[in-house]
Amino acid sequence: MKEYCLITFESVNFAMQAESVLKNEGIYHQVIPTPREITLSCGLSIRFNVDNVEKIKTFVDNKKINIKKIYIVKGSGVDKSIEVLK
Amino acid sequence: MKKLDCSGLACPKPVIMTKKELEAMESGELEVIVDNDAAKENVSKLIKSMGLNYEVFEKEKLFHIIIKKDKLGCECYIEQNSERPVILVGSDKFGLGDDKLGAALMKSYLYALTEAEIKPKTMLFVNGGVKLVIEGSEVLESIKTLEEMGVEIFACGTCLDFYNIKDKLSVGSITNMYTIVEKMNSASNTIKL
Repeated sequence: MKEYCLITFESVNFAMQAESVLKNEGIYHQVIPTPREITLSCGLSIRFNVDNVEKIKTFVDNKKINIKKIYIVKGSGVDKSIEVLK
Repeated sequence: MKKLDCSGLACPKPVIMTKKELEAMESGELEVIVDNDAAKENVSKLIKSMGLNYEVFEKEKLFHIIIKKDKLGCECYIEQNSERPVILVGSDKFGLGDDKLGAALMKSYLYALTEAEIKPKTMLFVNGGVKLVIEGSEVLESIKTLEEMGVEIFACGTCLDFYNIKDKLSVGSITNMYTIVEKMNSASNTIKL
């Protein structure tokens, strides 16, 4: 089953900042629309591999990136489950 | 007659299950049972879009939808195909305004498109849009996924030439204005980004 992590942000600007941090650090990521299960607004989230979650948490602790929440998403489509990690 | 009990299931599950069942079925009748108006409407819409006949009756607060599929099904498939939109991507940004936001929105849009139930038939990348289909593009993965899912990907040759990136094309094929005109004119719906 498909499994990945997701970061949500307080604003689009924070999402774009975080994107450039991850790009510079060479961490594979994708900018995706925030799933409807999390919020109905047209927000941007960043999707990344579960393996990188510790690295991402360090960036959050060091205030390199400014996030709202980290989620883990399992499955896709209607059989999707989303849990808050941090 | 085969029965598909979708009572108690939340939308869009009944629609997805009905679609799968109808696609797997060569011919015959299928009875779908749903317990609410919205599901009845959405399943009916799906059946109509597939060009099939159906009847609905209500019994003990449940809707029974009887669908007839005959072997002519393949014609309907073509019809459904031609209803898929053609998308003209004229820029590497989504919308006008801030370029950074536009680039982020384009990533978000193409990702959402890979997850959409109705996929475009064709995507035409022209002018600045060709920058999305070349080596190093940050949306290459989404566009490759769309291509694997059966979406035709075309990049304007003149544009690749103009930006001097013809050798960097990484997804889809090169096309010319005649094909672009044909694709757009034969589509029932063209969306320009």
